[in-house]
Amino acid sequence: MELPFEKQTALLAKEIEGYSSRLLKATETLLKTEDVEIGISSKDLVLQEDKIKLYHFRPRKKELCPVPLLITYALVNRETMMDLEEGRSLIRNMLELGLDIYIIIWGYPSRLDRYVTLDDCIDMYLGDCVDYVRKEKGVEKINLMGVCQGGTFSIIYAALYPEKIRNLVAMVAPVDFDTDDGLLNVWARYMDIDLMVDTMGNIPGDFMNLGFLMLKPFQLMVDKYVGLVESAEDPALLENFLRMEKWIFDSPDQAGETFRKFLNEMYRKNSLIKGELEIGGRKVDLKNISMPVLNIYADQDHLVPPSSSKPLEKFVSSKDVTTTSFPVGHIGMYVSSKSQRALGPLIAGWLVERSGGVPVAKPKPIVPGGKTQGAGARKAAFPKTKKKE
Amino acid sequence: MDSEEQQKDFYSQWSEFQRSFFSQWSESYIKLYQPWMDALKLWQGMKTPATGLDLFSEWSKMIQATLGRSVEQAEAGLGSTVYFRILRASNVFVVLNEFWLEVLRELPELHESKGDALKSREIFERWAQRYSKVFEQLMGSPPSATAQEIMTSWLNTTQTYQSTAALMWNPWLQAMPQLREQAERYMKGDLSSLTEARSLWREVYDETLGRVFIMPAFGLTKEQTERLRRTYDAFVRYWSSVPVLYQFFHTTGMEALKEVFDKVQNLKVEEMKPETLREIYQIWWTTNENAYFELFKTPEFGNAMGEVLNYGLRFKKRLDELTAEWCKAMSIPSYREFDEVAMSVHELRKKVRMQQKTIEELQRKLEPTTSRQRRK
Repeated sequence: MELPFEKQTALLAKEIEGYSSRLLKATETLLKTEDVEIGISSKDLVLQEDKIKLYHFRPRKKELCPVPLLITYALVNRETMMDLEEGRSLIRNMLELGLDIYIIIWGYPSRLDRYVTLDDCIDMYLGDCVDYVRKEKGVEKINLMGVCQGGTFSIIYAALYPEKIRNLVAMVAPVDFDTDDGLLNVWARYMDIDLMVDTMGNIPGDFMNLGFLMLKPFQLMVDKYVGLVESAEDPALLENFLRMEKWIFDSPDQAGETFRKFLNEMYRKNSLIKGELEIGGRKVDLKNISMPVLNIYADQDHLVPPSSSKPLEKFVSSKDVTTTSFPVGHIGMYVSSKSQRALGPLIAGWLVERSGGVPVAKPKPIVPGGKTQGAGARKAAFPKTKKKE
Repeated sequence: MDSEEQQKDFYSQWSEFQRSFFSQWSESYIKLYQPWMDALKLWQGMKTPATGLDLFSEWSKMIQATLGRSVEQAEAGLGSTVYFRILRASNVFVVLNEFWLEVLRELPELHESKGDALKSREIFERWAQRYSKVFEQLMGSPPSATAQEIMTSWLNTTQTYQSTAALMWNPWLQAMPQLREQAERYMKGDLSSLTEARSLWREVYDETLGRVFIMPAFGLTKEQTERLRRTYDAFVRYWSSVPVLYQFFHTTGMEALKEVFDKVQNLKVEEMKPETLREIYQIWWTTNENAYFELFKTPEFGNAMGEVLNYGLRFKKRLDELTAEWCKAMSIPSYREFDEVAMSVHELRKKVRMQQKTIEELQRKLEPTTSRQRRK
């Protein structure tokens, strides 16, 4: 039975009142907020080369994993995503589990850096950071973890210098770029990369942001903000949102020659898995990766589709390859509550087991919805783990 | 035929010959001397001093005609060819002579009309008209081979100019009806006409103005002119690539809207509540998200996007080149100078790094020696 007109009007009026009230409260909080801090874990600058900085996170445990871990993030966006805030920090979780963590920060390239090449990034900067950590810690080999494009860099480095890497962790790292599952892979075919670099020099961060937003325009440019109003009454939630916004739009420019080679070699030619990629005058052969590999990908990743990151195990010669997925998106891998409780323990446990350290407590099973259960509960729906025989 | 018949036939042939000869002789006589007889009649009819000029003119014409006829009957050869050319040249004199004759005849009239601007003007206009007829007559006479070459070249030049102008404007004129039709279709909401119109427009532009923009320039400002033209061309190409991309977005949006309507209808909403509004909003943005995702995967969209991006980059590149030239004129460093510095800095960095590594290696090698020395 249709509601009388007055009743309908009253309901709508109440809805508008509620919406306006939330919006006003949000405005109040936003106007009071000048800036938000991201990157909560303390760290010390230990090495600087040009704009690249190597930081060492202050350990949070007395007993540390004997093999240090070097994290390589992507050139796109900032590594602060992994250390966003209390309760949503993969790095904090891993520090709490006894890992000794270093991180490379690529910085903000300027016009002076436009001739920095992919070879410089991997062979020189990453190489120098690895050598520093090795020397500092007095170890022959370190653990290397790469995230997204940083994962590709780490994979390439491990293939070139396997004698320096004990264990390799690749997180949402693309290796096979010949896929139609990701729009970036599709669009890259129609772009003249050389023209782009010759015209712009460095690729502006805003340009990259626009591309990423266009992957899901309605969700990222409309629904995200509509949804914000719903939760705007809670200042804590609003601040979390602001941290995410700060990170999303904190996009460094891409050094021109690095961008040129990465796009042309990976997205256009897919030369990594074909064995045709050359770095520092040497061919990159993924078969040289004989150390243990942990490959983590996101099932709902629209930036690095599973078909791009999952196939790593097919190309390496390692006998110890663990491929794991989470039912989250690319960013959700670090910030989603679903992955927060499982990801850190998974990585830490896997690394410590292969580094001769004290075993880490295994992660508690997690059911969809984020609730944990004790022993005897039905088997967790995720993470899905497959070990290479 | 018997001998009697043969005798009759011969006689009839001879008389026929005689008749024919006489007839030809009389004809030629008339043709040859007729002008003289006409001139004589004219002489006999003379009354006023001014007709002396007419006499001279008639006499000239008569001589021309007589001599002309003689040439026709003369045997072909160098002599007759040259004689014919002389005759042709003297025809110019005769024609001009007639013109001046008329002018002189009208001089008293001109003198009488002194002070009367209208009358004077009328007389001058008459002279001008007559002179143009004279000119036509003269130009009508067979020109010399050299004159013919000159005329042909001039005509060809004029024709070339017209053809070139036609090359520039004809394609537009020919395309106009189609462009009009496409504009009408666009007004009615048919967005595919946008793509067609743009393709047609680009084809015509490439054939006409596009060629002007890419042709080489000359002179002192050659480089600047070419740079400016290339910038125009780049802008036109970028601007003409945008509508196709726009069409994709618009068409997809319309199709998604239709899908949204269908889904909303299927909700079978009995009463409008805030939850319903949220549900409709959810349907709206998810339907659009999926529709545009499918669009973004298509090669057609990829090509259109790539075209807009690449043309936009080329336009930016041309603008940057112009800006750099202007900066140069004002002694302001441009991106070129910065890039040179960047390259130098990059190479220096690599050099310093290599040297640093070498020093460290040498230090490492020296270390055992140094420690031994210290122990001593």
